[in-house]
Amino acid sequence: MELLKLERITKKYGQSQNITALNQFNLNVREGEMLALMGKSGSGKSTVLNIISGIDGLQKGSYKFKNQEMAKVKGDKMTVFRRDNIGFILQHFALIQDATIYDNIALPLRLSRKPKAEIKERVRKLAAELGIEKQLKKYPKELSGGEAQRAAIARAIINQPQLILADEPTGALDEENSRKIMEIFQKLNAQGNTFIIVTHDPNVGAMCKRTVHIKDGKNYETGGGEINA
Amino acid sequence: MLKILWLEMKNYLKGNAAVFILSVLAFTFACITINLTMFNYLQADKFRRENEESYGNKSFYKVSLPPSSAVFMRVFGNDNRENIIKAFEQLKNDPLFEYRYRQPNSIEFFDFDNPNFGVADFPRYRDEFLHGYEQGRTEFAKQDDYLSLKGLYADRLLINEPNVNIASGRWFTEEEFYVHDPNDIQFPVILGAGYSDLYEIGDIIEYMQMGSVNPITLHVIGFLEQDGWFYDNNNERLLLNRYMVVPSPEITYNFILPDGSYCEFARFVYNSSIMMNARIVADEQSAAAAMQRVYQIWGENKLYEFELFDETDGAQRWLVMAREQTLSNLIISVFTLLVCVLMFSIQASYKLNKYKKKYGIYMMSGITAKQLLALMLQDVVLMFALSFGLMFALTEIYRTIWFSNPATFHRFDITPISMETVVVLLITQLLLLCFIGITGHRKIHKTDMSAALREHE
Ligand SMILES: Nc1ncnc2c1ncn2[C@@H]1O[C@H](COP(=O)(O)OP(=O)(O)O)[C@@H](O)[C@H]1O
Ligand SMILES: [Mg+2]
Repeated sequence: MELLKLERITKKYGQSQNITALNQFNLNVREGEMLALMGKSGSGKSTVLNIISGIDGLQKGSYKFKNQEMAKVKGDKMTVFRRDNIGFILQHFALIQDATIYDNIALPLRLSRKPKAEIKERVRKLAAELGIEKQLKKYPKELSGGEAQRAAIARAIINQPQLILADEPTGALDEENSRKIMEIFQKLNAQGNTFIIVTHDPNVGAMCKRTVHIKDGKNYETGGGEINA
Repeated sequence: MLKILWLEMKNYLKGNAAVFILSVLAFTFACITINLTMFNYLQADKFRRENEESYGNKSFYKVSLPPSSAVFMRVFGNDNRENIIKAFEQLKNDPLFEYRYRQPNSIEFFDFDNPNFGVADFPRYRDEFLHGYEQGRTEFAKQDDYLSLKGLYADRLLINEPNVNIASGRWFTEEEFYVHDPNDIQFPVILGAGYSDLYEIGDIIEYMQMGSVNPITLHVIGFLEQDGWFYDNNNERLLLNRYMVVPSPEITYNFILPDGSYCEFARFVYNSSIMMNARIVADEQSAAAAMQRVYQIWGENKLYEFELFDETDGAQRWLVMAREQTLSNLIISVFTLLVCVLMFSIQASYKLNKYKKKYGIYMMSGITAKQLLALMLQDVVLMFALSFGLMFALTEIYRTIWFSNPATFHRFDITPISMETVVVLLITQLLLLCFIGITGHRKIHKTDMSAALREHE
């Protein structure tokens, strides 16, 4: 089943729209995929994720999620869509510094007004799965990079979103921790989560099932690489 | 969500305690100046309305004497009584103006020092006291050795007042304004509505008054309508519910008694209050002529010390002063409010910049616009609430310290917080909240969250 489809997406930035981040970009993602989006810095990778998650709008083209046109969805509708369908993981862990790990992970559940007991149970369980159950009372600064990224992952997936977007999730981690994170992703993928992982680390790319290359905001074919899977 | 708000609040207060306290103080100050402005404004407005209602298009004059006891003794001394009476007769009958002389004066019922007027003669004194005074003064003080109720000695024109009406019974006849025999004084009395369940028309009330040896007999001939009132000579409403209204009498007999002594009752009737409590009311066109005429009457009767004080003009000047005060307070209020607004917007954009990444994370985690707004506004709301409370507390303390009688804990009605003030403050706060909310919302929209998320901590 097709999960999402980007068609001829064009995205420009700047006051005079002089920076073209994406130029007629296409992407198809099926349910259960684990996809690596690779390209040089500034090639438009993050922009793709921001458009999928609805954090950024697009100027031209069509974005369908489960066959629904998303280009025109805005405001709280987009927020709720994001809350219920998408988990977001960033390179720099993106944790709220003055909140404990527990509060960080609980954030999406609290925003969707889940009961306290349910929040407690789900956060504990997930933290245990990710091996950070002992860190719940700590603040982000007191964690190692690997632990912080696992906490960020916990927050991203606590709502059980179907699609997980990871923007250079291993960019700030050493090899050992990077591998651990990718193993978690693979496990989640096996449980049915769809992944789009932005990376320029070939090792990470190799651990994904499919790779899409991007250059100057366009699809870029490398050898036998195809646009559509 | 509440938990998130609570955590954010805690963190905010921890990190910005000084700024927060400063904001609370600044806004409290703004609230207090707004209250003062409102108070001034309402006072001036009430004053203006009362003036309009009381004065209409007429000119009012009050009689005044130089504040010297020697002058007073001469003018109201026994030797000058004839002149006072002659002047009084002329003033009362002059067609150029109205001469209003109503005198609130207590009606005394018994006196332990006077064997003729003991408690035994007034078996209902407790009821009478309860009816004669407002609730709250119900306990008749034992140590008081006399009972006195509120009396009003009315001139013939009182019944023309728009808010003085007879509910049952009748008004005084012309004949009832005269006393012919000091040994048999009978007055008709019209009672305030407060007495309606104690007395009936036809009842007789005996009382002692004015040092007279014999009691004076009051015949109840009517009741006033509930809440009747008129403007007294201080231009304040005199509510008549608890008053006993009797005619302001004139005497027809010779007040030098056969034994050569001076009749006490006459001394009472023509005492200073028929002059000093009087108001002279003239149409605006004839005001100057009326004034001239009054001075002429005084001159003819050798009452050279009297002067007329132009109430209408004085009130006008007072009103201008009150308005100026309101304006200057308003300027201070607006200025402090502006400072507050400036502080808020600086705070808001400072917060947005400082917490850009944090808000980015909230957005990533699916915060709705409403929730985000609540997050951004909650400290302002708390600040408003605290300033509001502080304003009440400070105002109360201030009133207690400066404007109260420490013995009775009675606070005078100086700068209380009125309902109007509360409404104005709530509206101001709501407007400020909207202002901050809208600017905050616009800033969030303008901020590129994707860029914010890209930033390092
Ligand atoms: N908010 C923005 N304002 C202006 N230019 C931007 C913004 N976001 C991205 N860009 C530009 O768009 C291009 C693509 O950026 P990005 O998607 O972040 O690339 P990548 O993630 O591959 O490094 C870059 O040239 C970048 O400078
Ligand atoms: Mg990037």
